[in-house]
Amino acid sequence: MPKVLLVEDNEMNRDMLSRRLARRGFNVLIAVDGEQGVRLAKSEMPDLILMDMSLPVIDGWEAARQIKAETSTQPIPLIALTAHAMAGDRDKALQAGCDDFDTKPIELSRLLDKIDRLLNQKMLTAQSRHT
Amino acid sequence: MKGESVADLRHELTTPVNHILGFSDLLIEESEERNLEAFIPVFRQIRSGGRQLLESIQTNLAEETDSVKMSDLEVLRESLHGTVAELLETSTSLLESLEDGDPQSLADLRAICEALSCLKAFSVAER
Repeated sequence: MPKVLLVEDNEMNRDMLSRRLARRGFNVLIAVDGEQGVRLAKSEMPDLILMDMSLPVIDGWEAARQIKAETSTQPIPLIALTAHAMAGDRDKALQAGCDDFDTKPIELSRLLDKIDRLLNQKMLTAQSRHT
Repeated sequence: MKGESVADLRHELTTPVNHILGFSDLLIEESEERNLEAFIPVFRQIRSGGRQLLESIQTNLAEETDSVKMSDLEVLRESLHGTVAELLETSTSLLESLEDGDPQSLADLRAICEALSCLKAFSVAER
């Protein structure tokens, strides 16, 4: 069961997405701000991180940078979730080290395709390291 | 509202629309799983109305403009008003008819009503 860390401050968005992912067999961990997200990424080592970018304490951009700067958490695939309203977010997310980007409202099938692709990529990278 | 940036206003309005879309998707998925087919068309109607609201917001609040013009705001309010009122009526009646239903589904439906009430407050302001 892949472990996904969802970092989202909006309670309703968190509830919706975590339930929909859990129904599809993901073990969903929750963080409600950027600082907690960074902390849980280090302690729980999830298979993948879904990070809202507008977060309290430290925002998603900074949290993504910290996760990608740390050797232990750097290989964890990270998908940035942003409000469609923010133009230029895609480039900004990739510059912060995010592996992919998605906009709200979340189209679950589109997000699941991205999650699958990144989890497969991570598995292949891990396998190639062992051979 | 005056002086608010387009990006802020879009965010303020798309957040409740995202809730309508997400919770109606959840209600559809759960009804399909539990063979509660009678409710699926209503939840689909709510989701489809939510998409209509999203399109109106995206069309009337173009990303490239910096500040919100009062005339654009009026057009947006007008375009949201009918759909919001219709969806709120549908969701509220459904909520009343499902009084003793599954607590989770009721909570999801309440979240949709709450989101629609936020949008209604915007759509009727300063009209």
